Amino acid sequence: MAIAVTLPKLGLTMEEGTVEEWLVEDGQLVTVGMPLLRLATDKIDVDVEAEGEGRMLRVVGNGSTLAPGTVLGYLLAEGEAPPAGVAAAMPVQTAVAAAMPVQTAAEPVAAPADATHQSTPLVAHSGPITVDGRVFVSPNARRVAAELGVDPTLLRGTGPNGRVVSEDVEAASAGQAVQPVQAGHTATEAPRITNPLARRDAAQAGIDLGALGTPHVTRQDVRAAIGQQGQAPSASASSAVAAQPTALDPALAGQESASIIPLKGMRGTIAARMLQSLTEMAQLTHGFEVTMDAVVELRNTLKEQYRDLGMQVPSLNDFVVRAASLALRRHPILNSTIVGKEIHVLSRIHMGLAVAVPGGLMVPVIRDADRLSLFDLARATKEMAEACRSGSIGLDALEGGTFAVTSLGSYGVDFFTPVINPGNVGILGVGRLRDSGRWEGDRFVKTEVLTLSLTFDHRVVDGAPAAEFLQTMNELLARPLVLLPGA
Amino acid sequence: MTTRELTYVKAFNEGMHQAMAADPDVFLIGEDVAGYGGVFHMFDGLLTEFGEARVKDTPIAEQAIIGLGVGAAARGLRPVCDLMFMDFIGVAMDQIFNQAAKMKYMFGGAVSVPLTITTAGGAGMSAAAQHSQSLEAWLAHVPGLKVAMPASPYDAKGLIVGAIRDDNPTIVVLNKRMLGLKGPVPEELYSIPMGVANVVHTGSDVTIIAMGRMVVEADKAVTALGEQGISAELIDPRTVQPLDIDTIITSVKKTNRVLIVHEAVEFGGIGAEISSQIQERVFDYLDAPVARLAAPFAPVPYAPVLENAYVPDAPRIAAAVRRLVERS
Repeated sequence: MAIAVTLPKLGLTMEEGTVEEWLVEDGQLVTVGMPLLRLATDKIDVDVEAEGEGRMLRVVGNGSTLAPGTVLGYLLAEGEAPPAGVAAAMPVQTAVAAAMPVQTAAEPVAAPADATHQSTPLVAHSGPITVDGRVFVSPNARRVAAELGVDPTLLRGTGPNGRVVSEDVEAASAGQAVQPVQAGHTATEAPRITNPLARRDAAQAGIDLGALGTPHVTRQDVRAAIGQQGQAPSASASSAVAAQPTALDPALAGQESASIIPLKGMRGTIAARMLQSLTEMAQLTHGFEVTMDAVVELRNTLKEQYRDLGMQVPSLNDFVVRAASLALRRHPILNSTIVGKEIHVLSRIHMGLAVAVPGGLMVPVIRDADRLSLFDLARATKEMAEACRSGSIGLDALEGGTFAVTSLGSYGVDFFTPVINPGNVGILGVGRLRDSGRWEGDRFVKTEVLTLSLTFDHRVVDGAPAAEFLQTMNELLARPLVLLPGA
Repeated sequence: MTTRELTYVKAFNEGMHQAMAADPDVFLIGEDVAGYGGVFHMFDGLLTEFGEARVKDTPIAEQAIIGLGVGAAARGLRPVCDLMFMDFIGVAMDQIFNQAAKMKYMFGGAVSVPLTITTAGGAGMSAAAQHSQSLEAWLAHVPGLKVAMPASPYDAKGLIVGAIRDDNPTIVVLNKRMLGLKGPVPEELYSIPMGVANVVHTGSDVTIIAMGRMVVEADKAVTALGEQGISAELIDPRTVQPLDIDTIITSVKKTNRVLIVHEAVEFGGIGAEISSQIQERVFDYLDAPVARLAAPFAPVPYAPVLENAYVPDAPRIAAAVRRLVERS
């Protein structure tokens, strides 16, 4: 029994994923748990692992962007034929299938796999799809085919269930599509678009899909073509990123690139979202020094009393995150989002935490952060950060943040300008804990401070209310016992 | 012609005022329609303007309300009888389908029944299973009745005036969730005849046929689909009986793919009839089976979460269209 490998749904809002790279070859013997392919979503990259064993049959190519649940391939038992209606990307069936259109893919034809076939595996997509020995042709396709003098049963259907639709007939008539070819000839194929988004991008940029020279046009192909045309970036930030010049600036031409890091996966997501943030919002940053003496003192007490019990003492950052969660309750405008021409002030506080990981950063979200006690918050933060670094974080845990905190204090940074996560209106940067001093009457006393950097979207929040949020932070951090209980 | 924004219920109300002012034979009866102006304020101000002789409150007696209307209509007046919630129509059904619908036929055309019945249907208010139904398919099944489902403020005014002027019994089904919906409405008196569909959007990839409030949801879906490069044509039949099948057929011949959306239960709904007529007339123009999106075969739930899941909405309409047009 063939085991279908499907595109997993990794989060509630996940609508598509891209097969970044197949990690196993067609026909390779696969065992349970073996990584089959690298899947990229707009938030994370994951390896899809085999849930059974068998010989790999890939049915989609690298770069395909597809909806969750789409069959990407099958694991076949030894000697097992592919399921009916599946056009294998297996080279053995290529030109033969095209030459003998009525042959169903479920009955593999024994033919020598020579080098020509190996180099053009996509030709396998050119044969008609048969189910129970029938080629399904829509009524409209039959009508159009009769008018245009095309035999629709020789075409490969691109409609649901492999049905030949009128567009297939029209494409064939226009000479773009695969016509039955004599054995030995190489067939060319009309572009088949996996995704309406690719079609839209192409239409917007005026790209001729037929000219892309690939039989399986993905959104990436279209973006690449847009880049080659050197056209102005389109409205969407992601294509703006993709539409950067594809050649080195002449001024840098003498340079050899030491290494090349593709702007895709997590890097691509960060690039798109940060550019989107800075192009769409009116961002500015307040720097504000808060006194941390009370927090430091409480932490020292906790350290002393917890030491022998092996209990975890919340970090400085945990205190700041807790204070920010409570401050958001008093200043709900910072916990809002813009929808069209409206500001929607949100009722729940879901705190995003910037976590640096190799090659980039992630922003896991602690839901209802304001309801958690300091200790529960510290535990959740630790678990989230570990899950990010180990790569076990789920897509759901990276969605839905309403505000974010990012800390560079441990790197010695005092003040910086954090960039707001799109969809939020604020982000709080936490600086280094440092010694300072202040006058108490005639006495100069030592004190410990850190700088908070609050970036806010001026479309929503004005300077004074943003400053009031920071004052509240200062008050809360001066009375850290208030931060301990939850709810 | 001066046009301004009015809510659905105000537009309907204006149509009532103008139709009554234009024709002294028009009168209104129903529960709470006079002093209270109707539970949905559909009839505000009519008592003040036209007096007690033409705007009458009745006891809670739906059968009597319609019976009075049938008799008055047969004698030449143009009554508007209000049934408040569509769910209450069963009480008056004998008067509607055995009397109002049959008289003209059984008297060999010697009598006509220019009766208008107004009522409010539709879910989305957490009004529970007995106050949320969409029963237009019952009515459309009876020869002799006409059924209008206004889906915009413009149509709410035009269709009530059209119904009052029509010489046959006509039921105008307002949608409770749309009462506050705003849209452009001309100040002047105008009338939309029964059986003329409205092409809300023109498009080339797929035809969406939606009724009542589903037109509003489909409208949002059309916008979302447009952003994804899918060009959808949206048709609101306006009246499900008579059905403007010609407009639908013309569109299907152009797009080759159809989705029908209604709020009523899918089984035996208007969608089944439209779907059947399409495949009978233009089978050879279809690239996909005619698709339907409607409520599941269950009473309307009271819980808001369940009710939202029960009634089709824009995202589900868009998803259904994508399934229709997707190609590998």
